[in-house]
Amino acid sequence: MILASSPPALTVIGPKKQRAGSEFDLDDKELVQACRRGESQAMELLYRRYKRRVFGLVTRIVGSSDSEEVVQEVFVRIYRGLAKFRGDAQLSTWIYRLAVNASLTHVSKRKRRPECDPWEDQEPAPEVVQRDFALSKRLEAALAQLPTGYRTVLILHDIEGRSHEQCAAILGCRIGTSKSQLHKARAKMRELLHPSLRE
Amino acid sequence: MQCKTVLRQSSSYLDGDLSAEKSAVIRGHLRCCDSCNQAFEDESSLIDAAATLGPMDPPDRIWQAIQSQISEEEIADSKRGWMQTWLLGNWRPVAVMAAGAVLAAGLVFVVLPMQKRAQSDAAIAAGESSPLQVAGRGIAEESHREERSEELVESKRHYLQTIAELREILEEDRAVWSAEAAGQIDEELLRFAAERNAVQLTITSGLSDVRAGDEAFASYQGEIDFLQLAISGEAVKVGSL
Repeated sequence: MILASSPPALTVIGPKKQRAGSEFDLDDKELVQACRRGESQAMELLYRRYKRRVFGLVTRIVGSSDSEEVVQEVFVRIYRGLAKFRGDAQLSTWIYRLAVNASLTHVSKRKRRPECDPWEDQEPAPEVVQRDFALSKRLEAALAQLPTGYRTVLILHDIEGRSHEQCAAILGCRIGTSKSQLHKARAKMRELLHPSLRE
Repeated sequence: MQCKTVLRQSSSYLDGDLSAEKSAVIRGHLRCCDSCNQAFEDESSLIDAAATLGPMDPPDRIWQAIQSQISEEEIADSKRGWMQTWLLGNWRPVAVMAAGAVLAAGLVFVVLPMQKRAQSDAAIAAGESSPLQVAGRGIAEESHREERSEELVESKRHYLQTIAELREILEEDRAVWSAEAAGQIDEELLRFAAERNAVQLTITSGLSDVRAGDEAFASYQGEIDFLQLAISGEAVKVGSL
């Protein structure tokens, strides 16, 4: 008689232990701590959480031809600098500040190399923009015509929705300076977009 | 209110930063000024349009590039060692601390001693130096005095030994002297002995006094000269001088 024998006990890999909540539930503080521990999932989450805002901000300041290079530099600075992030400011403000600094530094370096024109593949200037272009396209093109300082504060306040307090913290200036720069930036934009704004 | 003033406040008005009273004044102006009203409408449209621009999607390759760069930098860190990596990451505070240490060392070892010396000199010159301030110089002077005293004692010992030896030699010739010559020589020897006793006291009590030492040694040398002359047969001549 063949006795039925029980199969040998196998050690199998079970499902991974899940966190208490989804990784998307991590707030910025938890995310920073996880990134400091070198958790790759947390680092990717931080990238996914901020990539669109950082890419938009950088692209609008430096132009599309150089934006990938600068965004890469910004995120490397973020990961390398998280150990020193004390949490005095919001994580988003700190990230914006790194992004703005890297972008302005890039623009400043590029000015010393006049042969490079980052806007050469951008939309044409508003004067020659066809009337049937969408307003957003015209806005982007007009934005590219602004001086860097005006452009940066307008992006932060009107596009990214940052308050003047946050703009001042990001730019390292006074709140009053942020307000006056924004007023001048909007006046210049009105001038550049004068006919199309009334369509 | 002038148009210029109203236009200057367009951003504050549209962002809601003005008080209710100021906003009411602006609204009143806009109701009766077409150009200002149009400018405000343009700015309002601009703000609304800008808010729709929003973020942008980066290409996927950026994340791979970021990961590669971080990996490369971490490998480079591991090759550098923790101290070098720490210094690279903290070079600003390290540089500030190093500069501070150099300044502090300069202050402690150069500036303060110079200042102290200048103050001490001024105090000494003004006769206001405290015992503590002159202690350094006092020690040096004391050391110099001790050396000088040792030299004087040694010289004195040599002089007295020479005098004693010459006197012994002279005494061996006494038998051949005339009574008159012997009297003159003895008189001179007594004078030199008295003088020697007097200066010996001076030297013992005041070895630090260079002038006293010089006078004593001049006296010793005088006696030695006389003894040498006496031994050489010139004693009577010498004694008569």
